[in-house]
Amino acid sequence: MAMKVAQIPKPGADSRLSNATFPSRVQERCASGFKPVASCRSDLFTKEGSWPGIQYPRVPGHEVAGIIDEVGARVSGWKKGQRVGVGWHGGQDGTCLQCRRGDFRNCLNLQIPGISYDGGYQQYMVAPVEALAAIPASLSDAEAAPLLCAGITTFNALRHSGARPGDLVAVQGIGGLGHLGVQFAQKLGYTVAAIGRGTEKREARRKTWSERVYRQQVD
Amino acid sequence: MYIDSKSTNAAEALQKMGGAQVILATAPSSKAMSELIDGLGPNGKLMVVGVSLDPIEVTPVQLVNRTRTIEGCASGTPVDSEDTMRFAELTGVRAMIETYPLEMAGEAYARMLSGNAQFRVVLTM
Repeated sequence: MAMKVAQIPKPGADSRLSNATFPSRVQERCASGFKPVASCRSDLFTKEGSWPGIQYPRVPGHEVAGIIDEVGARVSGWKKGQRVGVGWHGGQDGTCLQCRRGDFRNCLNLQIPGISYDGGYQQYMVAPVEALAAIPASLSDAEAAPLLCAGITTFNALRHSGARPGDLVAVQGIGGLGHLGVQFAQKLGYTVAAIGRGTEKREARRKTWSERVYRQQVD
Repeated sequence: MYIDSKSTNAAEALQKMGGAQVILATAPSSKAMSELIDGLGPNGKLMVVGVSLDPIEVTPVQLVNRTRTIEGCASGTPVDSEDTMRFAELTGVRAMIETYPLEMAGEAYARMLSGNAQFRVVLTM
């Protein structure tokens, strides 16, 4: 069975669409079967080869949402048909010093989808089971995907920032991350300042959008 | 509120509001981040999530004077992702997206890099 893959053949090269073989037997501890994927600026590391140790060709993409098509023999807790996503945290080794301290986020051998293994720019991908996040039923795949890197990054930073309700929180940059940061900051009850650059059309649209978010807060 | 950092001194604008407790720095511009440090209030924190390879410039006086902090923050674990999605579900937070088919991955990537996307680019299949 063939599937579509957008692959970076070598550092600096553009992505190339090709057909690849459907991932054969899913390894133990892995699950496969994803669909929409969001494009993050950090895909630049894969395209330009600026992250150490990337092996090419490599399929980028670390904000992936979809449905489990198959699970490995030793996987428990996840099943075929379940809606899941994968973000930047693509799997910890479980054995390094940081993992032994319970600090999986700082795993010394952290795997990153699209960098350590083929990511989401393809019809099906295989991911380690410890990388999976369950998607709530009310979110579509396309809604969930951007929350798996841009969303978690801004939400997690804000909730661990020490800011308390009412505090002045500024969000610098109103783009893929920032526009979610502004919304999260507003819903977390902060006084929000959105900081953008320039007065050209693009920024004017961002200003209008930010102001709409604040009006919702006041109303 | 919206602060246009090109026409306004954003750090001063934040100080007029008492100084920011937190600045969440998402745009990968170390220069823009450096310029905002003076906008932090007492015990304020610059949280860096936008990644670039050039240095952020700050003097020890800027940090010591108001007991300020600069902190890096990686995304989080899959359970943090689940918390994020549940919070979005609860509060109605949604990304604004532009979708492209996988066949247009190259164009979608260029659109994302251009900074003109409104706001996140999503490939669909």
